[in-house]
Amino acid sequence: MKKWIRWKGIIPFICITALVLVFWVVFLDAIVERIIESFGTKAVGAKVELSDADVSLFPAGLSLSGLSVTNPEAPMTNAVEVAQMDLSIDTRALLRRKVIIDEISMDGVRLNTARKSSGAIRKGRKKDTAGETERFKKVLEKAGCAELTLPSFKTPDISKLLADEQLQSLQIIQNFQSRLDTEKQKLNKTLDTLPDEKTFADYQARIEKLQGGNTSISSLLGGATEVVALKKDIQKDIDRLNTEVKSFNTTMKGFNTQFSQLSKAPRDDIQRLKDKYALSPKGMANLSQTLLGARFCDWWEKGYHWYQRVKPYVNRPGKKGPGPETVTPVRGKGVDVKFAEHNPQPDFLIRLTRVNVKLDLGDITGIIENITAEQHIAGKPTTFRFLGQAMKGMKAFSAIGEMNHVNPGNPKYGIDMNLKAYELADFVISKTKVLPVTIQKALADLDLEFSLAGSDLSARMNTGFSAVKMISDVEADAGAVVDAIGAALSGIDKFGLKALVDGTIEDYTIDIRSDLDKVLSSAVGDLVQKEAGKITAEIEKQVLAKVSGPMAEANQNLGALGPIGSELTKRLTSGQTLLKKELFKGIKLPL
Amino acid sequence: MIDMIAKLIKVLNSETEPGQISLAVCFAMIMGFTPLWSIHNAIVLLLVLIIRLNLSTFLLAWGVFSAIAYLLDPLFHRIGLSVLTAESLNGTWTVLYNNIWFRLDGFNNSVAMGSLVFSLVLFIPVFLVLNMVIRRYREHILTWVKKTRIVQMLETSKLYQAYQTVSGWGGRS
Repeated sequence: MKKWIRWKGIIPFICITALVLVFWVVFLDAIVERIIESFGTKAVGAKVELSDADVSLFPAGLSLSGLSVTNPEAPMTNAVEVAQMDLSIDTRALLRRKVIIDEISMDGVRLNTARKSSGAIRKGRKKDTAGETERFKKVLEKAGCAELTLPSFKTPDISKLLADEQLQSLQIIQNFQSRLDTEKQKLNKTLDTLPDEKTFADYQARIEKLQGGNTSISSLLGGATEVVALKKDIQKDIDRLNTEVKSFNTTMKGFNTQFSQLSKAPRDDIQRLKDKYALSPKGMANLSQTLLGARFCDWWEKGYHWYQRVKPYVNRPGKKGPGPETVTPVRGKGVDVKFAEHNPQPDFLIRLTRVNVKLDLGDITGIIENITAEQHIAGKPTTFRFLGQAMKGMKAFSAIGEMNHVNPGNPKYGIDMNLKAYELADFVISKTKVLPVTIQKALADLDLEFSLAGSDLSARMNTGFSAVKMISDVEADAGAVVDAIGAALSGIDKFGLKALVDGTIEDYTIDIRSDLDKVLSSAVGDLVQKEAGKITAEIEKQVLAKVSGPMAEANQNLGALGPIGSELTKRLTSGQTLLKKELFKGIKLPL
Repeated sequence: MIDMIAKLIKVLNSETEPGQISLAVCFAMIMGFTPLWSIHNAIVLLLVLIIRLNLSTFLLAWGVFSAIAYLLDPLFHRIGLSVLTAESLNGTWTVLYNNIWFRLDGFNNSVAMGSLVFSLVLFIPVFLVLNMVIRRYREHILTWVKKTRIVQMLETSKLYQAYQTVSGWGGRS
């Protein structure tokens, strides 16, 4: 046995173990700092930096200072900067490879601070969210955000507009003219083939010859046969003429109907152009939706992007089906298989986070509870409460919310936010060139309720603005309507705004109402009607002027068919006169 | 590298017990194949230092097995996953999963479990085969090799000089 065992070997083992421990203790701070920076950068998609990390082993804790998280959308800005962060960690859980942080206190949290150097990283964000963004934009368009464009309030130059517009009435007249020409040519050709004056003169000569002929029995018998043949010939020609006259009359009736419809075509053009270019009092009825809606849609879109960013941190779906769960870690490192635990705990949980956010307006303090992506294991939702009082530009602020994935099949999100006497300054409502509107000064009270339960979406925003000073920096040649709107807005000292969002996450409506509509309607309603009337009259005048020439020409060409009809009737009458002669009396043609 | 090969040749040709060489290789296999920073490797290290086995062989074999481990990772993953997800073993793994020390060891990782199972299964066969190979080598091949011209030429080479240099380090570590 002695040959195989050397007890002295314990000494180098103790030395090696001690060396490893000393290495860890000495370099632990630097290692943790590096791990946080590396994992944070990967998770955010932009640089996450730390000035210092201090790990304490007994009791387990971590102090971080100078944490800055770059905004991936704006690499020269930090989305969040935290001056000091202290964490107390559950040591027993750490031995089970679970990061359970009992409490984090964050001091000196600042948002959107400038960076000295860019925080962009070379690699793109791991997740491709392009498809998701595209889908959201479509939903937003469906909700009405795409239609929020202000009408042009300027009186348009109708001559210029008509030069670019294709008038349908002109096209219809042209087609009519073309049909008329074709028909005229056809009728002229037919006339050439029909019996004419010469034909009837020949018939007259034959009649006279038969009347003054031989009186012998044989010649009388031969004459009777000839009379029958002559009558037959004349009758045949009359029948042809009769058919052509009937056909001509039908054609003429059709042309006359078409011409009467033709005269209505310019009216349709006028209506279409009026709808397109003239201001309508109906379109002005919910101007506030157009004016304020674009801004609301911007906020809604920003809110959605934040929701997408926060979602992965509060929701990692649990295992599906029975048996152990496998979680895929970094590639090439195998997979961790999870088994049932006697006392289940999430892999990562921050039980309590105390935050002190420093804004230009003042300090906002808050508490966030149960931050974990495995709420179904923790059994508690992520909740937050933020409160700000006696701030510089605001009387009070509160935000209470919940992100509940405890039942992963039925997630619930809810936020109640309240702002009291928030001092707005140079707040741009509308950036459009047509009607730029800025609230120079105002006090705003805001109540916001948002809930998303499963796919049911509901949001209510009530905002009251008081002590308002609004300006609309319109262009000098903006027109009378815009000037009137600008003047009306400048005179407003208070107004309310309500926004309602209802539906499902895939299909919802955004409805924005404001008492600004009443003010604007009474200020510019008459003016809009007057302006619209002026534009309509001008359109009517110019369209009719453009159409009248071709229309008269068409009328003239239609009239030119009249002589053809007269000629046909004349020939028919000539034939019928011949048949009335004494010679044909009593002669019946075989059927 | 030359020194290491020289050491190996020296060990093989020395009076060291074949069992001491084979055991060093087998322990190196566990430590080389499985993830380094795990509790079972601390136990392996303790055994390596307490049991009188050949440390030079252990260090050399550890390096070799660590390099091979990268190539065998996909195989370890497959073995580990099938062992960890075996219905019949679920109870055992659940008990171990709820034990702090086993959790700390990371036994529930497919590569860790696969490599451990792989090296433990091979432990005894490798030990026995190596013992036999070393004995045969010493009995038959070494005598014949020493007589060959190549070895006689090698004895005058740099490799042999290196061998001579380390020959004074002692065969039994």
